[in-house]
Amino acid sequence: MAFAFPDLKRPQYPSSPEVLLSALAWSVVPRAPGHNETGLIYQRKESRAKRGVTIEQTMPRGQGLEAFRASLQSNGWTAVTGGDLPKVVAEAAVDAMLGVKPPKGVGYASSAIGLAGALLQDPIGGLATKNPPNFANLLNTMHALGGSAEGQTAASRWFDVARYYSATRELKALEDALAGTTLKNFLREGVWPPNSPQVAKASVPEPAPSWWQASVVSAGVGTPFSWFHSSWNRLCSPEWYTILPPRRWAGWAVCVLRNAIGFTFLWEANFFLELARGIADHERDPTTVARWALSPTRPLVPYQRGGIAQMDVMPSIRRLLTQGLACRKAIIEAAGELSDEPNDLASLVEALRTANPKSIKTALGGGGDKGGLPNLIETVRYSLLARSALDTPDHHALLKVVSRNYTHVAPAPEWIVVMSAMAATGPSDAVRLGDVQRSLEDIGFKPRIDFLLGELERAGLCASASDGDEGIEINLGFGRK
Amino acid sequence: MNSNPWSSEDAKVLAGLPVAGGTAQETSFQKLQKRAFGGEDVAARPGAEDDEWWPKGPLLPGVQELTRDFVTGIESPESLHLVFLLGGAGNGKSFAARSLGKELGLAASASDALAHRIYKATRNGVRIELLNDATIAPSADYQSRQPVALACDIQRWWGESAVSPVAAFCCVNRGIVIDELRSLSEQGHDIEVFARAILAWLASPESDAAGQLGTSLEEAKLVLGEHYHELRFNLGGRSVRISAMSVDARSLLDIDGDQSRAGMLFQQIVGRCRDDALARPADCPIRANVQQWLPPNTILGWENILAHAEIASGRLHSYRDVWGLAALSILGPRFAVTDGSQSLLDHVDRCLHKARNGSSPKDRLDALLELSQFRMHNALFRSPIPSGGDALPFYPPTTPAHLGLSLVDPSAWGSMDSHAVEVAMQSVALGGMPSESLIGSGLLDNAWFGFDKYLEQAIVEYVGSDDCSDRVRRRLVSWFGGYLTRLVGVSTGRLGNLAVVTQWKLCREACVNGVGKLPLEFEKAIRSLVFPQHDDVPPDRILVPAFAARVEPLQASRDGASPRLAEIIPHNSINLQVRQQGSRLVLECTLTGHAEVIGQLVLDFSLVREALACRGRRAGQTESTAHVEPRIERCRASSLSAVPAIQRRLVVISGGSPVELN
Repeated sequence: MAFAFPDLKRPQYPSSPEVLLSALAWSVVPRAPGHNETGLIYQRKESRAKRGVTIEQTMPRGQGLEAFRASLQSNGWTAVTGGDLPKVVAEAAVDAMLGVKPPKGVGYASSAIGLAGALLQDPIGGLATKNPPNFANLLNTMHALGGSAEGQTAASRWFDVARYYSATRELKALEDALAGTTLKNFLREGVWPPNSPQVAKASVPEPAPSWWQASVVSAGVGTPFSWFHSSWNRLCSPEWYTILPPRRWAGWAVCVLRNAIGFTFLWEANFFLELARGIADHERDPTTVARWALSPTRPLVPYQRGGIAQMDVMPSIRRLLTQGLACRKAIIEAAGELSDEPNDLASLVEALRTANPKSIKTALGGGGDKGGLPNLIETVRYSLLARSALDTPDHHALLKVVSRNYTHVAPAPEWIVVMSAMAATGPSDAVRLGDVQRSLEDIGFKPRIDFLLGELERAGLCASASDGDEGIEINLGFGRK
Repeated sequence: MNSNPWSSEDAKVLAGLPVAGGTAQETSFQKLQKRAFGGEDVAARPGAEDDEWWPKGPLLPGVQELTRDFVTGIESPESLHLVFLLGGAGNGKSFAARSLGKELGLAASASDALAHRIYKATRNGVRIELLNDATIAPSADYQSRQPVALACDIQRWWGESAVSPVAAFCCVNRGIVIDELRSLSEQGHDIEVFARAILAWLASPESDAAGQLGTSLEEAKLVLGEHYHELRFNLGGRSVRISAMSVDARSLLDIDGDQSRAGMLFQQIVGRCRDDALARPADCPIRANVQQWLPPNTILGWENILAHAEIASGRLHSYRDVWGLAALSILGPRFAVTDGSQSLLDHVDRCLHKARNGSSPKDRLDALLELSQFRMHNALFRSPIPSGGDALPFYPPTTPAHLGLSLVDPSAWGSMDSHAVEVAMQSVALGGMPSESLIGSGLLDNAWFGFDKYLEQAIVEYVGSDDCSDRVRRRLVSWFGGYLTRLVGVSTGRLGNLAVVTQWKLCREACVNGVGKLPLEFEKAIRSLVFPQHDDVPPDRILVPAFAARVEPLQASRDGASPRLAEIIPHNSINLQVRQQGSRLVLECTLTGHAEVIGQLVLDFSLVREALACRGRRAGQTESTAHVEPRIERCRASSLSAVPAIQRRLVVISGGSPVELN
């Protein structure tokens, strides 16, 4: 049997990041038969989809709006002044569900709050393509690679939270109205309201390789997977979701998913590149090669000060992904040809040194198969990049386009809040600068302590501390003590 | 102006330079310069005592009791007694440890100039160790366990206590504890639960160390205040006592009796510099500085400036900072030598010589302007100095303390006396001396000295001459106005942003016993920030967009043209209270009838300023708004989410009054 690597589905990034939550949602809520081919998007734009792709807008408009209004009324929404519920109320409710508006793409996603809110779009509609990547499988696999799942997946954890919000007084009528009108044709009969997640087979996570369990999970090595696993579990715990309003929770969840995806593929590229270098350089200790492959020694996204061109992160991201992808293909191919399966990464390095395949040297030299590279670069870039219109700003991005041609690290106001919150075990727990730094190091982002402090101060998160450095306390501002 | 009464040999003596035929004794100024920019060494070594000249700042209340308890504990020892002094650098931890070392007869070897991590001794059958964690753990001793050196030591002491009693006194930076915990979570390092539990407890005293160790706690032997924590338990038949004290939990500017600890130290330093300063020429700025601080009541003024700066920056000064500020208040800032001088006093004397004997009024004035950077108020507030032909501002080097000092600079932020100075400055146009009216009205009491007088004369003389261009005249007059404003501020104690600092102090007084209510008017202002009012909604309710990413209140019906779904949430059941947490204040939101905190906001200088900028339930704007607003929003979001759903109402705003929904 060939040496197994973490099996991550090849990505393609949706223009609206809320589609990631929607992918999780549709992986645990069954679709009506015959409607699997139709893509959903909350608000359709003028632009055309690819040939053969049918996309439907789920935002109630025209007659649909009237049906939605009536449904809202029958579900308990009435004006205090009496009479029929004014149409303007339905219009306002529909607008309130709109998410971040990206400049590109075939439409705008909803903000993906609650259960029905997240079902208002799907990957086909979000990417306007017939065969989008299985994001639910990717996210569930990343979650499983990060630690013990105890029978839970990223999607099932999301379901618990969405169901909680869906039952709240403010959302229940709205959710029922959406499920009874615009979503009615797409939900399997009798499925609404769903009481438990019905996991789609295709979204079941890929099993982690045995060496991964021993050398990474059990050894507590910090990776984007472990960060995603702990952050997602924390965010999906009652401590957090009971104090966060639904839209804020959805915003934070999308932020966690975007960073997890962006940094996971950077980490993967670095992992294969380091392995390839270690295989090519016979003088390096295989154990060190394995350690450096698992824990990047340099930041995956460089955060530095300097001239506008110097601060551009895209050249280094592009270079890393290009080299990493070529090395990935070469190593997987070469490992598949080994007669004996190595026990761990260090043994793999030794075995491949002995086999000495040409393809790895070719990949290191800039050659080799780079199929799928544009999608990979776009996925990483757009996962982390701010994309928004003035009326719906993207508060959760890490990168920003500056002066058209350059992409800089410029954390949006909520990004650092989410990252700090995910470094704390709960809203009322003490979290210090060292905790945030460590958490960011796990995903491979290693900002200088003064840069990090600057971002925390800008967001008003730093409570003054008499002893500095890693001991500086962060005040998240969320109570519940 | 005086002619130079000093020979070059005299100047050399004062500057501490070698004089032909003899060795100059170190002056008090040279001594003080040694601690102007930090301590002399990374850690005080046991046995390496300071000479008699050096004044000593009082220890934090409780530290002396703790060291005494450590010494008496040796007579009837526990199996393991660990004492930790926790805090940032320069707070006197190793100074306290050195005093303890002296008491125990521990001393570093005379030939060893380096401070060691651990000093050991045995007394009464007890193995005693003094540990300073600021000193890097030698790799030969700790090898791969260097990143968890403290945990390693705790584990070793626990092991050794099985054989004979162990007592260790440790000086530890809290950041190091966090760092070690982090290393421990990344790699096992063979550190067992005992050391891990103790480290976790040092990082957060709320952590359940006894639970982790499977034992139960006994009553603490010492009660020394909120900044002291103690664990006592029996484990495996061994009695264990762990004490931890935060040495930086309280401000050195807190008044203890008549004076603060920083004030007591500064007064001693001024006293040590007195003779050397009074031997200086009458027009020397350093002499003026010391003269100014000599009357005991002026020390209160100095403490007042530093206390205000602490509140403004939200950062407590350490003893190391206080030494630096004392040097700044007496000797002025660091300066770049451009005239070949070999020491501070040499440079000052050369400038004084030029000021007296310069070939033109401009030359003489330039020398005095150069000297003005050494005058205490300019140095403390980092006043720019007019320099060159165009009198362009030159900024002296900054220090961390300037972060706070710059926010209470009476010249930059205005003070109650700014108007009086402005009026006084009018006299410059008529060739008069602005100081005359200020001295007459008592605004320069104890602040006006020879140097200031010469400087004023030189400025008035030069700006009145035809040689001075209009542009330079404007700059010099404006700068001297700032000079006088700062001097008046130091003299009267009326500094910049006084209202903000006073309000913050009132809040602190309100929660002196832990938790308190905000002053009434200030609470209204804070409410205006956290729960801004909407035109068409009763004042006890807030209107926020429904299902929005952030809880940013709508304030007028004209917000947006399209219909908008919003929520009206009553906030009259949300109460505000202020809590003192160590040195900082935290605003807490609770629901009426519930003790649970539903939202928090650090009540610092910026937030108080923001609140004071509110006018009649409308939020104001300051230059800190962009920094303060995000945390206000988080507190608002958290607090409002706790308001029961039954009390919230959905509304639609569409070009007029809200349409309320059931």
